[in-house]
Amino acid sequence: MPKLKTEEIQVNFGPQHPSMHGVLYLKVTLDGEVITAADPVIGYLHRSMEKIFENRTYAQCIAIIDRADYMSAYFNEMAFVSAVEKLMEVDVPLRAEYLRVILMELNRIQNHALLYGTLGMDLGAVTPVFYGQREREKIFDLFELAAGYRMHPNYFRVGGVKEDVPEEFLTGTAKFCDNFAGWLEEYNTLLTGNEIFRVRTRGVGKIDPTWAINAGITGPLLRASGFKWDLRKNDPYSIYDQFDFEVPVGTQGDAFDAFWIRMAEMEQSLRIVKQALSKLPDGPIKAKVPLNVRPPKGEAYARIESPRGESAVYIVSDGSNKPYRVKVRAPSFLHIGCLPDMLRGQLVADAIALVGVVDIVMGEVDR
Amino acid sequence: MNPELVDKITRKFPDVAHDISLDYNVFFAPKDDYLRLAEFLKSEPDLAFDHCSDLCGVDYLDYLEVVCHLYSYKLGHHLCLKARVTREEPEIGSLTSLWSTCNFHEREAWDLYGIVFTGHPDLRRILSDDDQPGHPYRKDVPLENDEEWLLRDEKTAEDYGLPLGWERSADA
Repeated sequence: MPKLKTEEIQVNFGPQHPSMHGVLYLKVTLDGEVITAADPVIGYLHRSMEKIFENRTYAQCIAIIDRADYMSAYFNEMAFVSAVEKLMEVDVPLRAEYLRVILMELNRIQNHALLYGTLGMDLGAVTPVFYGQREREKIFDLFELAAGYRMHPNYFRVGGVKEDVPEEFLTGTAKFCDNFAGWLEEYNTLLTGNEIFRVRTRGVGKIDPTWAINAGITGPLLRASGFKWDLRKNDPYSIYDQFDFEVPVGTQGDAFDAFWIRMAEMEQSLRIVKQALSKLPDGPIKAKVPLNVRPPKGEAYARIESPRGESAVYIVSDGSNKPYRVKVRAPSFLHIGCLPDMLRGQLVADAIALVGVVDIVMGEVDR
Repeated sequence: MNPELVDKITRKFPDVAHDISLDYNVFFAPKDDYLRLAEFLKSEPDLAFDHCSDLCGVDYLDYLEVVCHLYSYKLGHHLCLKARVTREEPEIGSLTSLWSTCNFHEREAWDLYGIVFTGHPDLRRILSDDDQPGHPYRKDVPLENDEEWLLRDEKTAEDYGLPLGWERSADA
């Protein structure tokens, strides 16, 4: 059948649109219902975070970098703190490393639970978001026990963590681990097996691994395309080489695979939390490092596997107590750069599914 | 990274300086070699840098620096490529044709540091406003709201969307 050519129209998605996950503004050109071009406009949440760092001490930077990717604050802190630790060549005590891993993996579950809810909601299923929020709330309670704050904990320090966790945190986390497997099953019954959901996501926005690597796609999206790569496994940082977990990989590289990877990752994160809880050693929680650190002159680049992809921090130090330059590599920022190519040729309704599954947090994009 | 590979790069590009004081290898490329070296790093089978992890600008007051972190998924090694440009003529070749991810990185470096990447397909501002004066992350940009700096390109306060009489209210 010859392709019917219609008049091209331009549609504005956002910046105020419920499915744009924050303030993403997407100028989409449509030919009928098919997207022919897309131009993402970002910067609505730009707070000049990297410039602010240049005028703050390292301890103050940790509190600010929490607000970059506000859905997974522990990962921002971890990237920043490990870059400074590389600069200063600090050895972090083992208990602090374990506490960091427990909190980060809980944070990953929390982040993916949100994606599960919002992706369902984007595609018309209202119920999942309540299920997702139910578990997130429990994880936030645990964060509050550990750090005193729910979303922006400011808990990691150069050389360790702020303070030891209370006993209730450990018992609460163990209880959460026992219950979560059942909740995950509920998630899968509710959405993963849903016929409409599968039709809406299967075959949408297929990613080819060679293209994905060149375009800078990392994290769950890259794994969905069939490329088995996880920084925790392939280039281990912290103590991730001591845990036994698997890296889920997709086969088709479409939106459903990207979604399914998240569900499988929650399971693996749970495994890591359980192992870390059972092996948690006693001992100091912070190396002998002052709060107001002065790293030697030099630079460091530290990258970690955040729920969204490869998150990295590049620090240039001039020897003073303030960084000379901080660059945050935000995976969402680069994924937005790939959206025009991913959206071209898709139906306009599928754009919602794609933007949802890419999992964008604008705080990290605009910094 | 294997020392033999470092040798291989420095032999092919004698003008490229090498630094191992960090936990990763840093190569300082002269402006003219920058693009050729990047191409060599990507295409050579035993280097195979297929992932451009990060690219950013840094302002060292005397000069601007482009810092590019590369990684090879295939071989698992990491490298940092640097090039210097002058403040007066901040022009350097674009890596977008090698790694398409550099598109957004370079737009950001242009927006915040004013580094011009020749050959970039779409060099527009990305994070700041289209009518933002100057390049805000440069070190000579004042951190406070500096009237003299803001109005140095002879635009009026209204051009920047500031309310009339904002100078007076700041004094009060």
